[in-house]
Amino acid sequence: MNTPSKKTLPPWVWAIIGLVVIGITLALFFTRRFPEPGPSMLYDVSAYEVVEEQLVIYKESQRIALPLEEAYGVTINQENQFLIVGDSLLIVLDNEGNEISRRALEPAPRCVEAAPDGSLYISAMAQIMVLPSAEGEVSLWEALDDNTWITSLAASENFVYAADSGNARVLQYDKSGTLLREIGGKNDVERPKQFIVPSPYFDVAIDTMDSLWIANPGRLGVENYRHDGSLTSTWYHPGMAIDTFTGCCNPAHFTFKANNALVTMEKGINRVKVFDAVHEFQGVVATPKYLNEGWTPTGETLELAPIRDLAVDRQDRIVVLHGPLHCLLIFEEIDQGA
Amino acid sequence: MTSKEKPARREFIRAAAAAALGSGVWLAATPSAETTVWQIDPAKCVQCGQCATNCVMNPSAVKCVHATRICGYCDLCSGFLQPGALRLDTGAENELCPTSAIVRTFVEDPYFAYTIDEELCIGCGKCVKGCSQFGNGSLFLQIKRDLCRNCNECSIAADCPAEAIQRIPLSRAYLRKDAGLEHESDT
Repeated sequence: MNTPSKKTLPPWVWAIIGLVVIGITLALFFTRRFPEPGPSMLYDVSAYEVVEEQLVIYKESQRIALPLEEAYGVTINQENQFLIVGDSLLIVLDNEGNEISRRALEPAPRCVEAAPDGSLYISAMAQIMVLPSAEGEVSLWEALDDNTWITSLAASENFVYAADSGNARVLQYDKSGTLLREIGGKNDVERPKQFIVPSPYFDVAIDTMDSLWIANPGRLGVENYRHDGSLTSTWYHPGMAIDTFTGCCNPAHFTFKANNALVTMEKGINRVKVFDAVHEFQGVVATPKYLNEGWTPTGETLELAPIRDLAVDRQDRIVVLHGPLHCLLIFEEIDQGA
Repeated sequence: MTSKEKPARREFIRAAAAAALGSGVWLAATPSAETTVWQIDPAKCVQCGQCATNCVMNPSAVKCVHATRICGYCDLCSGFLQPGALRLDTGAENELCPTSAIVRTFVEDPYFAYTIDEELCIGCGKCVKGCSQFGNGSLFLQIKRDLCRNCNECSIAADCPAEAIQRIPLSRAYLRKDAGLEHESDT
């Protein structure tokens, strides 16, 4: 009886099978196989950053490079000169951007305001300085407490206002530096939580009618006050649409044009917009895409928003202080008839 | 050598052996100052979402951490609410977190406190990005040491686009994000 012959694969087949198994094992071992994070895991507000072209009613007409590493504030004096603070300096530029003067200031200045009478008010974190002119002698007002973080100054004909984001209050001084009144803050018995200031963005401005306006960033709007500290009106406009204020603390900065139009700057979705005197949305000055070009965020804790300050010059142009780009962006209204 | 000396020597050898063994166990169990652990540098993190998907642990050892000293306790919290949320409340349709891991608690009008439910958090960083973009950036991602396997090659670090994950000495962990502390951690 013949024993059946045992069927075996030839050695070269075994070799190929072995190589394939080893190859697959190595491929699985060295290949990274992680799924991409899905849309539910990603924070995306890019849809809100898109601005329709017809809403942009301003164009950049001039860009002035600043000789500063960190610029914080800009104002425009009666001679239509730009006064900028940053890097412990006060720099004066003419209308073309040529440097007229510079001087070092101590403590390091953060905000600057040119009063109608020509004097300059400059603030550090908790200290206000007064200069009769850019070259004049500096006099210091009484320093404020350690929790003070002055983020804006405004000067009317008779008063000087300092917005203190650390204490959520606005301090009213007379021109001699005497503290007259505190609006908001913890000490206001009637309205202790008047201003909600989650982050160090708290602006104050005087309109062309010499009326006081204070941002209430936590309520996403602005409030109008008499000089005796009494509230006249409020305008809060939260939302994600282009004509509203987004996030938790906006408008971060605001100022007024000659016709009392309100110019606002927002952080988070960086954009500059204009509302008319009755707060009807007029249009966009600078879109998020425009302002975000040419720089990248550092990611540091409490990183400042790119737009550090706003001003309106004597030609009614909107001046935007762009920190990361180290420049002033000057915008003019597009002539719609042209 | 006398017979009386033998037990003393034997006891000495036993004691020495026990001491050596004990020291070895103690040294093995106690991390030295040079032991390093994986940590996220909050200043570099870009909240790409890969911490949730790339960690060998499931759910990820990366969790959201809240620096309450920085928090503004906002009603309209961009780390808690969807962009364009219809209402400022805890309705699921308004919440940003895909796993509802952020707990919102009323403090007093108009302030709310936010805490992280670590068991629900998957470390996607969606809330961190919302908080950083619009708010103070009080939320941040960090690798929890009690959950991390401390792999030789961290699978999240290998793919991190910002190279924000690094080994640091155990004595310096955690890398925190808090008012003024980010500079201390560099020293």
